[in-house]
Parts: sequence; C-alpha cells; structure tokens
Amino acid sequence: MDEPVFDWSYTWEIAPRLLDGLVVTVQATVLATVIATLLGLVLAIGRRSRQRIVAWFVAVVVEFIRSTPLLVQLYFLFFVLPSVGVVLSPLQTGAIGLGVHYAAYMSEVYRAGIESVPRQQWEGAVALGFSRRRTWLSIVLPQAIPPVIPALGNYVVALFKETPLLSAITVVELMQVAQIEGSRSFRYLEAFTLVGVMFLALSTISAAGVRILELRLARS
Amino acid sequence: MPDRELLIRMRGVVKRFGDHTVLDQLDLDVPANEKLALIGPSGSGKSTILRVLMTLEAIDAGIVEIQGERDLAKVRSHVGMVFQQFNLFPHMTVLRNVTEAPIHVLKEDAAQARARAMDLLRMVGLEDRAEARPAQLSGGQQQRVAIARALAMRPRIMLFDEVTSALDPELVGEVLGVMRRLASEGNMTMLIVTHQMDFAREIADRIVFLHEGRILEHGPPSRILDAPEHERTRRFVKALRDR
Ligand SMILES: Nc1ncnc2c1ncn2[C@@H]1O[C@H](COP(=O)(O)OP(=O)(O)O)[C@@H](O)[C@H]1O
Ligand SMILES: [Mg+2]
Repeated sequence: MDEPVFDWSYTWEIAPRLLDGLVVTVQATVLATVIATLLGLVLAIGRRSRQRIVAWFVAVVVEFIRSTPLLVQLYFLFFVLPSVGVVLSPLQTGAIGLGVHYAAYMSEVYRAGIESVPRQQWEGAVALGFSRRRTWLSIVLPQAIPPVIPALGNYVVALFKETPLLSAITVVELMQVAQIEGSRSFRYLEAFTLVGVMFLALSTISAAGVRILELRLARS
Repeated sequence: MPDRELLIRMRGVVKRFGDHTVLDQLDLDVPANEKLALIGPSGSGKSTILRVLMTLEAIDAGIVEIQGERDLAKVRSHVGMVFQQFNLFPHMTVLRNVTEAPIHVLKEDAAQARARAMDLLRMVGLEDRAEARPAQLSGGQQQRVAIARALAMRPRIMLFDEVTSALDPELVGEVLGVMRRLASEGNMTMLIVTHQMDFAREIADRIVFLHEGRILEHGPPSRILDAPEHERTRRFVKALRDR
C-alpha cells in the first residue's frame, strides 16, 4: 500500500511517450519560428512602404494581432480555415497561428533595427542609384538585423514556451501527452515533472544558443 | 567658345520646409564640364540645391532638368554625390563599398568591377586599404573612399557637399588633392559646396553666391571674391578670410 511519492519506474514507462510529445512540440516550434522570423520581416518592411495605405494596413494588422489573445487566434484558425476550404493538420494550423502571432511581435523588433539605420545610409544608396529593393538587401537589412538577433532569439524561447496552448486545438504535443497519461493513471506528478524538465532543458539550450550568437555578433 | 551642352537647368525652383522657403524662385544653369562652387551663409540653401539634383528632395515649384530630362530619377545614375559625413556603408569592406553599385546597378561583371574599383582606390591613394572596414580609416581616408565609390558609377556630374567640413584640418589637404585631380581631368561637371575660398578660387570656373535661397550674384572667382557687387557677398567673403 506504500506508494512512493515519486515513482521512478512509472516515470521510465511514460518517458518515451512524452518524448514523442516533445518531438511534436519541437516541430511546432521550428515551423512557427520560421514563419515568425520571415513574416515578421515582411511586416516590418511593409510598414516602411512608400505606399501609405500598405504601411497603414500592416500597422493595423500588427496591432490587431498583438492585442488579441493567442488562444482566440488559434481557435479562429482551427475553425475558420476548414470552412474556407483550407484543410491543414492541427499541428500545421497551430504552427501557423503561433508563427503569425509572434511575427507581429518580431516585426516590432525588426522595426527597431531598421529605424536604427541612419537616414544617411538610405541617402548614400540613393546617390549610388540603388533601387529600393537593392537598398533593403545591400544596405539596410545587413545593418538592421544583426543587432536585433538576440531580441528575436528571446521571442523564439517565448514562443516555445507557449506551445502547450496548441493542445487546445487537439495538437498532441508534450503537454497534451502528459495530460493524457495523467488522466489514465491518476498520477500527474511524474508526467508534469518530466514536462518541466524537458522544457527547462530545451529553454536552457536555446537561451545558451542565443547568448552564443550574441557574443559572436558582439565580436564581429 | 562654342555653346556647351547645358547639363543642368533650374528655373523658378521653389523648395519649402513647412512655411520656411528654402529655395526661392531659383534659376541656375550649369554647362557640361563646368566646375561650379556654391558659397553662401549657413542655411542659404546650398545643400538643398545638391539634394534636389540628387533626388533626395522633391521641389514644390519650378523646373529642374538634367541632360534635358525632368524625371531626375531616370538620370540619377549620371549624378554622383559626396556627403559631409561620408555615408560609407560600415558593414562592407572599402572594396565592396566601391563595387556594390557597379555590380548591382550597372550590372557590371564582378571581376571587372573589382579591377576598376582597385584603379579608383589607387587614384585616391588607398589601394592598400581595400579590405579594411570604413571604421578603421581616418576621416580623410573615408572621404576619399566615398569619392572613389561615387566615381565607380561613371557619373557625368559630381556633387560635393562640404566634403571637408567634418575633417580634422590636417586631413583636408588629401581630400582636396583628389578633387583637384578630378577637376583637372576635364570631362567632369562638378558642383562644389565649400567654405574654402582658396580652393574655390583655384578650381572653380564660376562661383555662385547664395543668400536666402536665391542667387545673389555669380561670376568668375576673381570677381566674386575680389570685387563682389553686393555688400553681403563682400562681408561673407571677408568673414571667411578673417576666420
Ligand atoms: N529636412 C528639413 N526639414 C526642415 N528644414 C530643413 C530641412 N533641411 C534643410 N532645412 C532648412 O533649410 C534651410 C537651408 O538648408 P541647407 O540647404 O542645408 O542650407 P546650407 O547647406 O546652405 O547651409 C535651413 O534653414 C535648414 O534649416
Ligand atoms: Mg549644407
């Protein structure tokens, strides 16, 4: 009758299934990161469009995304996309939702980087006959992006920590697996301890990665 | 002298910032190959004239033509500009600062662009700094790179906006030396905003004195500097000389 408070053998039993969940979490994180970093950049550039209407529209979209909860956005995509004929897996839908949400935040980071490039650099580019596109590629982005990479990295870590929200739209990620295991055995301690350890490990690794990147950039 | 091609024609040009009229019905003609010095008090509109020609400012009224073309963006690659603060690209080597525009704007072959850039760097005495970053150079060296960079586009017109004003006095000479050499090569039209009256006298065919967005008088250096018609010009030249 003496049940151990923390059952190691049970922990070993569920660990492989939790690792499967972790794989899904990592997949969602990677996909969402790709979407967020690319779309975030596009949004930041869009806000600098010389077409006032484009710049205004992008600003409104970014503001809208940032001021509504991620969970609402996830439900919205999950229920609305299929009804307009876009059929995606829950994981894909979740990664898109997460990616778009963080793209809005990252666009503000990129924007700060872009605004830190002095006006004289744009003028130098005009004087050399560069097109707008070439000015972005050769002059502005190479100066705007490196200083903001650490800030972008921090958002990647934050995004990773929000992946449990995807369980709300039936993605069987790490958190969801833990819940399933817990409700099956009525033991939650082991499963959630493992979840915590796994998140801690990956967060620590990626935070270290961000830090290394930061040091590299500071040196160059 | 046969009529030279009129490279730049400005008529009734008005430029305002808010309700401040910076260029006030300005007329200016610049024939091909002229070396023109623009002088005048701070705020008289010298930089604005160059910036209008470089498409960095839009005008509010009047006409500006370069090579007979009113859409200045179309002839932009025939015009080069050197700025007071150099405006080099800090993330690129000196060599890439010079090759970037020829490669991407003129679509020159990369090897050819590099070879020509090295020639230009040699001309400004910096061929041994090709792999340096701008931040590793002195102000005078950076400004010489900026001149080489502008020349790499093979412009017909070069605009110089107080290019030695940000330099320590001992570095001014090396930049003026490069400009002198460029002027002596002949087939370049140069508009030079400067406070260096000796330099203006030496290389300018004509000096324009600007006051409050208008040309108060213009003529050969000897007349503008030694026997100006207007009291304001005389006072301005004297103040610079006494400095
Ligand atoms: N972007 C700007 N916004 C407002 N005022 C400006 C701007 N650029 C120049 N000015 C004003 O226009 C006037 C002429 O400037 P500028 O052509 O730079 O004079 P200069 O080069 O002869 O010293 C100055 O009074 C300056 O303050
Ligand atoms: Mg000026």
